[in-house]
Amino acid sequence: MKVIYTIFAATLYLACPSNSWGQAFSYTHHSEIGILTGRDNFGERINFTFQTFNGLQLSERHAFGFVTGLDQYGSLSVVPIAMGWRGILNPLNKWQLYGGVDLGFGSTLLEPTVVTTWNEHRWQDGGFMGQSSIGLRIKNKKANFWSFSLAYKRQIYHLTTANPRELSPDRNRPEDWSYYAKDKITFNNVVYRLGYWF
Amino acid sequence: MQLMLSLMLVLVFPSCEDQLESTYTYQTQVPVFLQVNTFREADIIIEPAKPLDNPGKIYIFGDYLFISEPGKGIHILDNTDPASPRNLNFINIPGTGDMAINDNILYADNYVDLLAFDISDPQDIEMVKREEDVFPNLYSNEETGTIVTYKDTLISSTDPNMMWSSWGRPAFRSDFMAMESLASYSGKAGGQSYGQGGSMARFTLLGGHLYTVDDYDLRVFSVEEPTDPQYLKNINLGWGIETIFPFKGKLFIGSMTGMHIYDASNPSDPQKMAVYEHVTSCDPVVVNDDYAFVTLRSAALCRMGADELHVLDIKDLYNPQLIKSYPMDNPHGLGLSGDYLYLAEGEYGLKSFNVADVLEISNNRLEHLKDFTAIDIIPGPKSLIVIGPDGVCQFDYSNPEKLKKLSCINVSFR
Repeated sequence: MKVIYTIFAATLYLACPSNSWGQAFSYTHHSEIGILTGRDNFGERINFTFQTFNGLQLSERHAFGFVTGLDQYGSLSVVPIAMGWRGILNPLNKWQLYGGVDLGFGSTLLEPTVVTTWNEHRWQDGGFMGQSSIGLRIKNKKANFWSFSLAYKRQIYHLTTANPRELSPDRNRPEDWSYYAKDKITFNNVVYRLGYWF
Repeated sequence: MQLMLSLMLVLVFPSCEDQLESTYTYQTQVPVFLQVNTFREADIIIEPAKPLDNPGKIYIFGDYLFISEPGKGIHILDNTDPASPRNLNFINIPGTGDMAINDNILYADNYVDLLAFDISDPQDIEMVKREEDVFPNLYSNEETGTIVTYKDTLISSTDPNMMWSSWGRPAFRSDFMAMESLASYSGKAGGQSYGQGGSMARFTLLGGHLYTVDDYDLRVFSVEEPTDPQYLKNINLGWGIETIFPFKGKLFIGSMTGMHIYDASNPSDPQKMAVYEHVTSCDPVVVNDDYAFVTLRSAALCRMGADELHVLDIKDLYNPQLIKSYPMDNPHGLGLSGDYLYLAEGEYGLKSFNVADVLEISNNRLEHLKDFTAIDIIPGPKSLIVIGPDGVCQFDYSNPEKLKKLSCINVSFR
């Protein structure tokens, strides 16, 4: 985890356009909306996703940057916070094939802790997020791009359900709870996206 | 272009299934087996002072405070000045749960045995007697000398049914929950001077005899010769026995189902006088001439418990009558000093009441100190001593309506 944070911090720093030595590289931005598809115990699911990549065009073929957005799995909102790489296979053509890899964390910071009338506490914790994608982008007149892509995305999150034994229980101390159940859920998604790249 | 399209078609792989993995973490007690000769052969060592870690019960004797560390031993503190108690020694007694003090002799349990220590010089404590096999309910096999104790353990499992196996576990005799009830009984009895225990103690002294309660039994020891305690008999009390409180020749025993009253006018052969029954909950008892104050508490081990203070009329000891019950937060031990009742409310702190009018206790609440966790209370001769998982605090209660904090000994880390 520490390694991820370190790389992540470095990416943020590199991606910041105000860093003077970064001026040598051009800024690049890629926003996409799409659908997450997968299968859970209840059958097929289709969920909304939005993500944005902000980074530096290190060369004609490589861009490196920071990815965030929103994945909505039913009522669960997960905010990905990751570093990403984009590689373009044929940067000189009108139709360009590209690939991307994003690695980081999916945060559940938008999810509140719920306490039921039965004093059951329910909270969520985020977890690993990784995705690899392949797509096509088409250059338009302004030298910007439309894109569509296909990706495999893996998102881990944790749901804890617990009944306190103490008045001020510590979430990380199962001793403080008379019931303590933790579900680790791994979402395996195939993602279809449309986007705009400049 | 065609190459790209075919590549995309290949990449439309089938959706994968989400994975769900549930882990249930629960606290239970796992049995630990031990041979009796391992602890009998080991020396009981008097160690230099140790910081408090998990204080259990308190006992006052003269200017000294004895604080037990359940399962480990007993701290001895010099309490000549309650504003600054000094940590003196630590008696290392594995498997200890409770203690009592009689005429410079300290009694403490050591798994199945009862030990007697000469504490006339707290700087030079000496073990004078080991009475063997007097708490046999810890034996899993008495013939081979194997005892079983239970250790709190966290277990994680992916089987949801495992959660409930913690029910029905045997309660450990040195369970911290059980403490004695008040004991403003510090006078002389039969020429012997007794120490004073908290309201949740399970050892008590009366009329030259030591009484101990464990889950099912009241055991009687003669300590007329203090250095040579003799096991006399065992009286079965049912289940869930928790605390014992002596008052004027009577023994008041708190259990999970009610309060037992025994007549100990013949100290070696206490006779049952009455049983007051209530719903299942955990409950220490304190008593004055006319009334008994019983706290009922809900806790993991005391299922279906209510959190209440019950006041019983005990003018007729054969027929105790409930006069009134008051709702409380989470009452544990209590202490009675004249007309003032001090009640440990667990994590809710400490409350004091004027109980001169037992029908108006809730309207006569004096103070509610909230900034610490209180489990048990002893109204000592110099100070009101309050014990909890965070340490031991002493209050000046010369003005019973306004407690003044004198000192706090905190546990070493938390």
